[in-house]
Amino acid sequence: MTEVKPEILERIRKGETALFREIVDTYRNMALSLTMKILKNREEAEDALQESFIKLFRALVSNGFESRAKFSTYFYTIVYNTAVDYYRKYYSRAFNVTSIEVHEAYYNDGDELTRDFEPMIDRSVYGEDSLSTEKNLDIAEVQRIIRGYINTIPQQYSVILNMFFINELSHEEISTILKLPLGTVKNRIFRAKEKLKEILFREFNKEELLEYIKV
Amino acid sequence: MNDFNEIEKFLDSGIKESLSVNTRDDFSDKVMLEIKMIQEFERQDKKTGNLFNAMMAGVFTVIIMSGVILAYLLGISGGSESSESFLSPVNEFFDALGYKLSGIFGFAPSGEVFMYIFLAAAAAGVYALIDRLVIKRGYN
Repeated sequence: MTEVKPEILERIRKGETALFREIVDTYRNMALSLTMKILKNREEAEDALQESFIKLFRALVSNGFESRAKFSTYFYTIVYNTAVDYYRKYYSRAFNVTSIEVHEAYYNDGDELTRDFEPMIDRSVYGEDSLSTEKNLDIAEVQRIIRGYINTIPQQYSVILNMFFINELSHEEISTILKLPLGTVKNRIFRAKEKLKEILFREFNKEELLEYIKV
Repeated sequence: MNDFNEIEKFLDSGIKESLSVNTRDDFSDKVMLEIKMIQEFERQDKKTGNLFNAMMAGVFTVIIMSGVILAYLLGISGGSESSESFLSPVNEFFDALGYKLSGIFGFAPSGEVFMYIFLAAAAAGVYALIDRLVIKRGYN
């Protein structure tokens, strides 16, 4: 877990502005990943992130951040809220991380996770016959499938996955930042992973996949 | 390690890899530049604020001093005849002002009334200054 030392924060507070760069360099990629999940556009995501860092700096120098609080939770709360504000501004609607809209008549539980991913497979994005259990395992294909799946799952899942895997926040911290029940957070991470597992085992030979994984 | 754990580990690293993105190389430079600019603007704002405060303090000092001097002059004008020649322009000014005001309002306020008005203005000025320097600063 990446945490900024309290001494660094104290020195920034006392006027050593140049030290703030250390924080920017440490968190910029991890935080951009989060703003990208919300805004889906690099320009807007970088703008939102830049504003988040400015807000953080102002909070540090004006004693807005209490050193008793955990820095990463405080910072990612700023990042999330700023990105959500940008989303509201650009898309003229509120960012909904709570509920997932389901319109299909034949909806099965978990369908929302692959709603945008399955058509990609149908359109043979991965090659005409690439997704066959008969074929030898091509690990680049496996990785492309994981990437395709992650990039197309609804934001209600990807934001949580990002906070958990990239921002290294705990279930409790995610629950606090998103104001979602703890059970919902845990459930979404579990379901997203289960669905991915299901897709991989459907598309590839389980034994081969396991063999590759073990190497 | 069993198959289940192997798969979990593989999925976790695959998800991590898929979620990762990088900022442009000059991102940190841009943030630091903006912070530098913000600090510079704040410094300039502070300077302007200080100048404004000094001007306000000067204006209110003049008002207060005028009030004090006027009160002093009005005070000695009632007790000493020798100062009448010195005070005559002041008295003439208030007489003329009183005459004008009586034409407008139907009554002529005395010099004391003017002094109270001066004191009220001075008090309002001092309050405004304190409000700006102490009370509002406390909120920021």
